[in-house]
Amino acid sequence: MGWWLMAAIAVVCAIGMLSSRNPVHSALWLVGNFMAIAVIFLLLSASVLFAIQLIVYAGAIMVLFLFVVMFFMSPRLRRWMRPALKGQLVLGGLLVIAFLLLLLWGAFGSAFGTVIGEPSGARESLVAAATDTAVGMGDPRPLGNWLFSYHVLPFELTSVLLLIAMVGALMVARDIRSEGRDRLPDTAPVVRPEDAGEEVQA
Amino acid sequence: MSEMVSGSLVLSGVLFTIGVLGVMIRRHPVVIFMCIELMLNAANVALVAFNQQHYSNQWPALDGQVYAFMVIAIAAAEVAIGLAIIVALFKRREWIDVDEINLLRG
Repeated sequence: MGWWLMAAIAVVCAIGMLSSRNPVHSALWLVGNFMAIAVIFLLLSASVLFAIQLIVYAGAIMVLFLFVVMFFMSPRLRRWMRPALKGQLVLGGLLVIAFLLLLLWGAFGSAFGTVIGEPSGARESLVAAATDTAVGMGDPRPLGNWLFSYHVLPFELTSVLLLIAMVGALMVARDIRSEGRDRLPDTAPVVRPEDAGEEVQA
Repeated sequence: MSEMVSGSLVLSGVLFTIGVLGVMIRRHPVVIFMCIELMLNAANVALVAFNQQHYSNQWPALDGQVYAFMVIAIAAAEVAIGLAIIVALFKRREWIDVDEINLLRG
């Protein structure tokens, strides 16, 4: 069965990401994990999320990770797995097992499956649209209808959030000291006359 | 609950737990970010599985997929900011350890 294969690949890739010493290897393991999760989305009849997962996660975000790792990492550093505390691995493992049991209990042991509240309101048009055209759940049209019928404001706020994140990332990562000139070798700081005064308006 | 949905919930829990373990035992900031991404993906798997469980022709709700969509967008923003912070830290020193980053400590 395809689902079991994909779940096994996802778990194996996650463990491989966790246990590989080189961050580049971790990133490659994570790409495999994302692809397996994308196929699981497809099996759960979420074909739009399948595409978005491949494009955004396995494409854009992993490129960003590899970019940072390859630009700023010295490959000789080998301190990545040295634990800071004594017994950190054992303690972390025990805590994680307890956390997994808690998660599974929350999903299956408690009052799972009880409907808390049925959404109210007359939404026959959507129901009719979904049943008349006889489209399946994986069709992108119902997802678009649903997104822009009930979640317009979060969608627009997401665009604002992305803009803020872009500006913030530029502000955080820029190098103020060497702005406007080439980087000098690490010698005594050269104070040019135009730097002594006020900040030059670009 | 179908077998695939319940299996997906178990898979979601396992992946989230692996991500938590990675945040706890790994010390490289980029790898810690990868583990956070893994946790967000695990949450997405759970959301999509619940959507599959509660979808019907009488009530064709797609809220779970929409939420997973939002999670992906917010994860992209979070990665941009986080990696910018890591780049800014790498510029200042050769090696950074997450235990040694205490500039914001009051």
